[in-house]
Amino acid sequence: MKKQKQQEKPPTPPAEWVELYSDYLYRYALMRLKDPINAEDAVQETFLAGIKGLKQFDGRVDVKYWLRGILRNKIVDYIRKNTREHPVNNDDGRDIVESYSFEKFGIAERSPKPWQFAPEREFEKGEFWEAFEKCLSKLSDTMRQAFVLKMVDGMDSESVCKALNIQPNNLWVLNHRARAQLKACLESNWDREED
Amino acid sequence: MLTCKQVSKALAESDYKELPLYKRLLLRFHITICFICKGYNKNVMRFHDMARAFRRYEDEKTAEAAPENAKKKWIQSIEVNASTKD
Ligand SMILES: [Zn+2]
Repeated sequence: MKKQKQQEKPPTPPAEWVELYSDYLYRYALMRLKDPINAEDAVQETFLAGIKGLKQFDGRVDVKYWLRGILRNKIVDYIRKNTREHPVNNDDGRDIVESYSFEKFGIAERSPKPWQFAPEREFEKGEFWEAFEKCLSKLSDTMRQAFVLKMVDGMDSESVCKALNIQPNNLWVLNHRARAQLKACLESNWDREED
Repeated sequence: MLTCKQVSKALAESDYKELPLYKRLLLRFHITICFICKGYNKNVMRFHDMARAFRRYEDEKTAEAAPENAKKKWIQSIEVNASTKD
């Protein structure tokens, strides 16, 4: 029974990886690292680590996502290395913390301006995500990485802070600013169809 | 009862997933009765939904992305490393 299960899903042989997964993995790395050279190297290291670890592949997830798991660790390594060499300015969010709403309620904006459109209605459209990606790429590296690692990749706060070499309070400030900038960018760049 | 400050902190860091159930319920209760936290929560949740939907989009997108010369390089190094394994 067990043997059968293992045979159910033999891993895709490494010879097919580039054709099947490299565009996905490269795009994934580039979105997070922004530097094409680093992204290329991270993918290369992922393939090699994948070959080495292929024996441990248990077929529970698709090879694509198994490789992505390896890649994500590589990406975090690159980010960590980079933030050790170039620590980010500690944005303490003083302006936020000193605002009335924050002192009173602990909330940065007492009544954030309502969205000019409902983004969730656009989720099915590829063009929306292209606009979203463009807006993401306009954020500073640290801000983008704080948002993507935490919100998109679902990493826990502690690991994100370690990778970015920042304090927990800083992560909060970064994500707060990322939300505000993304919202503003999407509102000015996304022409939804009037319906 | 939770204060607005505690609520917004939990929401902003999205640590509520790690909170015990009774705290999550308190949190939800607070949000239903407090209009200040309600508005804030709605905006934060929107970004959670957006991030989740973006992840799906990222996973399903199939367009080419990697440069051809990078692909060639990868293919070569896979060939070398996979063959030395046997
Ligand atoms: Zn409140």
